[in-house]
Amino acid sequence: MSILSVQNINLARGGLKILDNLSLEAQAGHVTSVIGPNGAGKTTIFNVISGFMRPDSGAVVYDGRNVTSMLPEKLCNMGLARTFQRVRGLPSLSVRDNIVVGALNRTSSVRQAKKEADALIEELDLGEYRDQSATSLSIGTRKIVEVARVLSTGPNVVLLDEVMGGLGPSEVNIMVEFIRKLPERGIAVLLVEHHMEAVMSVSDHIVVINRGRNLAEGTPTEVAQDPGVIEAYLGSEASNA
Amino acid sequence: MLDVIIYGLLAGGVLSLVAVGLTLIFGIMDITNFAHGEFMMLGMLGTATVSISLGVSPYVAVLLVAIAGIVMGVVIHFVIIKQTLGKSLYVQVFATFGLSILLQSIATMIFGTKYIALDDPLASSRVNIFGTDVEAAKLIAFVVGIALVIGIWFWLNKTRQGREIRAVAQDTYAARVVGIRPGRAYVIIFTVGVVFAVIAGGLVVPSQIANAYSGTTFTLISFVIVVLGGFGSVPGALVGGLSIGLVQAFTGVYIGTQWQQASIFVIFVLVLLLRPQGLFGRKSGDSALVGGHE
Amino acid sequence: MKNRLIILAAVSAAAILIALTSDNRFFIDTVILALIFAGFATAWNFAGGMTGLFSLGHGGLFAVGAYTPVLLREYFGVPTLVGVLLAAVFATLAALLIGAMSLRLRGHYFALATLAFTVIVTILLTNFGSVTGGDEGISLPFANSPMDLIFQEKTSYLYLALGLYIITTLTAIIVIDSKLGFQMRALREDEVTARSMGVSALRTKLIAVMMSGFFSGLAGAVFAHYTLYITPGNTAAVAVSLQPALMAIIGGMAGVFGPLVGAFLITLLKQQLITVIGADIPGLSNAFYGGLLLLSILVLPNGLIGLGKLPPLQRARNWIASRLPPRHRAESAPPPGDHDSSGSTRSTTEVNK
Ligand SMILES: Nc1ncnc2c1ncn2[C@@H]1O[C@H](COP(=O)(O)OP(=O)(O)OP(=O)(O)O)[C@@H](O)[C@H]1O
Ligand SMILES: [Mg+2]
Repeated sequence: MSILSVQNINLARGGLKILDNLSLEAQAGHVTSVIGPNGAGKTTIFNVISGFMRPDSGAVVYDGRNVTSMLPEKLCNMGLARTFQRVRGLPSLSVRDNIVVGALNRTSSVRQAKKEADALIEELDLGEYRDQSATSLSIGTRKIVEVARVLSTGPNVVLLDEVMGGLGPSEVNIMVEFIRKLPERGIAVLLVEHHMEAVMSVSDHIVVINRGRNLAEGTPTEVAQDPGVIEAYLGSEASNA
Repeated sequence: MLDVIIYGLLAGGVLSLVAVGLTLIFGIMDITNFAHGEFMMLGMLGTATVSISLGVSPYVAVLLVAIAGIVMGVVIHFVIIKQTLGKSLYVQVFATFGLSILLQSIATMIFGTKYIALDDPLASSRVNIFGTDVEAAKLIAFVVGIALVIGIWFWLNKTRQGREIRAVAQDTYAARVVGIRPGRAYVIIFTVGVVFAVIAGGLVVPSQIANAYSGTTFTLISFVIVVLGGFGSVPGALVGGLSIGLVQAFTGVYIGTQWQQASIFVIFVLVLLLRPQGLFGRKSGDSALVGGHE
Repeated sequence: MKNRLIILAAVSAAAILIALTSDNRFFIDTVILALIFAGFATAWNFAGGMTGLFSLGHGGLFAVGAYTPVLLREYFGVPTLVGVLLAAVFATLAALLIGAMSLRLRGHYFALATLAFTVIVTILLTNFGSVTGGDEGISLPFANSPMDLIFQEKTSYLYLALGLYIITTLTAIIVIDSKLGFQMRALREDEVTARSMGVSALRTKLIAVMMSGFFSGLAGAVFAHYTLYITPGNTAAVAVSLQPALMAIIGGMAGVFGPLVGAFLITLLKQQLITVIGADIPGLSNAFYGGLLLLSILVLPNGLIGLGKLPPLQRARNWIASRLPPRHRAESAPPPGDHDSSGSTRSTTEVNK
């Protein structure tokens, strides 16, 4: 059974239909990617899932519970965490404190949270940035901190919104390796990404959306061969390249 | 009843004039200006003093004072306001708060702390509006106030320069790209705001005594009007000013003058909580609810 | 934590030393007022500096604290010490109004709404003159009755003010390193991010303003018993309401001791300006005060402590970074010195992109 199931979400803003009967699922231990052209509604569906936007209709079911429009902090407490496409972070706090705040999602002991933060910093090789403020880092490092921040909350489901945007090739490789390891912790990963190579290599399942609607879905190979997808999305990407 | 409405509207016209400057400074420069009422105070004391010492009509004196106001506006903009553009809210609040203390104390040094009253034959003559007998000064203040507010609205909406200035408010970066210099728009808007407040002071002083501490109340009332009408909205300032004039008049007559201030601040808090974008403002992200939904 | 406790102990020792050795009444008076306002500013900082809730309405809470024990004693014969406790409790409840505003309003909307709160309190105190003495306020009887917190000796007040400062600051020291402290900072930095990391905006903000209200109320009560004269003008007026924020900013909002530094500087400055410049020219000392205030806020937007915290190395790095073309800088880094409490101006819905 899927840990996260997004069912028939409709959402309009300013008279414009942004999400149109959109559905998707995420499985524990799997990487599910959501792809689609710019403005397809990927960030918006993340906002709906994470409680920042209220859909007009449809349901978000997490762990068997209807959690539609629940408060974002509540959802995070329940194990559903996200990154932001435009990296926000807690700007003037140190990298370590950013992660400590996340770790405090599961414990009341600051000492324990610091210990967990340090372990995560070690694991992600962020040691040299530990005491720097999040804004002073390069964009690549900030994206890794962004992922660390989310993992520190101890999630069952993570929503990653373009965590590879702006990274150099070697940084993309590090990120891909890292994302690959997440399912081993039993985490369900929902990934929004424009970097096709990375998506193809890391995903178990891909959902393609366009103009707020489901367009196609399947394994990376199935999706890559779908004529509709090539038409709407990969085609334009390919011709850009 | 009709007389209360007339008194209220007449008082509201000048309030619109003070508030329109503040709302433009808010809307276009994104500056929270706590010194705004002090400009009105300087206009009151300046006009009264010039009128008395030169023996001219206050309506001539206010023109001279307004010209001084232009110089003051430009200088204060470059020396102080410009340094706070784009800075945190608290830098703006306390820089302009410091400015208001400074202006108040300078006024104390020049004019003393005594109340100044002005006696002008034209201003104190009576006119009849729809059967209600009012001081000419109030009518003049109302007409000039409304005319200036409508004038600034025309200028912002119907002239090239005005449209350029509005473009800066909408998107500073895009405005720069098409060759508009935001810096110039800022000086103009700030100075217009100062001069309007100065003129408003000159217009009310024939019918109202003033001293160096008369400005603070107007700062607060202007904030109320700006919030009521929506940050940056000229029609909002007009309607907001008139409404506040009415509310004050009605409270004064039916509840008691000591509750005039309280009534507008209660309305202020209610409007902030229920409709933060104001009656005329565009909806902004600031209206976000606790649930994080827009 | 340990360092902060040592600093607090040193501050207390210095204050006690002054109480024991100085017989300069004027100087002791300055120290007492500074300590009361240091307590008030530290109380403000729970909301303002730590959580990013830039309140301009704390004068209202201070006034609730000042009037409560005096009125309760006068009308109901409530013992002063009980009254002081109730003062803190009422101020805590009043602070919930500011808390409610913080849930719905951000940035200058919040600042203005809180300002309106203190204006309304001022008007209420003025208009219910039959109870509160109106504009004229209330004079407390000058009698030596320690149980009523009215003392003959100035030094007794110094100990009282020090006590207020110590409990407020001890609470701040405990909170700042606790889970709550981290969550408050997270909200200050970025409300959207904080909430996405499981920080409850509602709970954290309300607790922050309640702590802030509690200690502001205590400060108001101590102030009333020291000056023995309370009016709407010296408790709730806009000028008073802005004081704690101003002191915290001048001193530095980031840590625990900025408000203390700011309170001493501002209190000393005001007293000294009057002594040095005199009252011969009315307005002159105030003009200097306004001018210095303006200058320091423009030159030191992060406060004095903020200046010290920035190691020279980092300053040099910032300086070099500011000279490089933009693409060498970390993407979308906000301009230095401009990202502290302004976090509160960001809206909750700004989650796209
Ligand atoms: N609050 C809103 N009000 C109005 N329009 C919105 C709102 N939020 C998003 N949109 C619009 O909805 C569409 C989908 O936006 P979204 O950010 O979800 O796209 P996306 O798939 O994440 O694109 P990208 O790949 O560029 O990140 C866009 O056209 C956007 O302008
Ligand atoms: Mg997106």
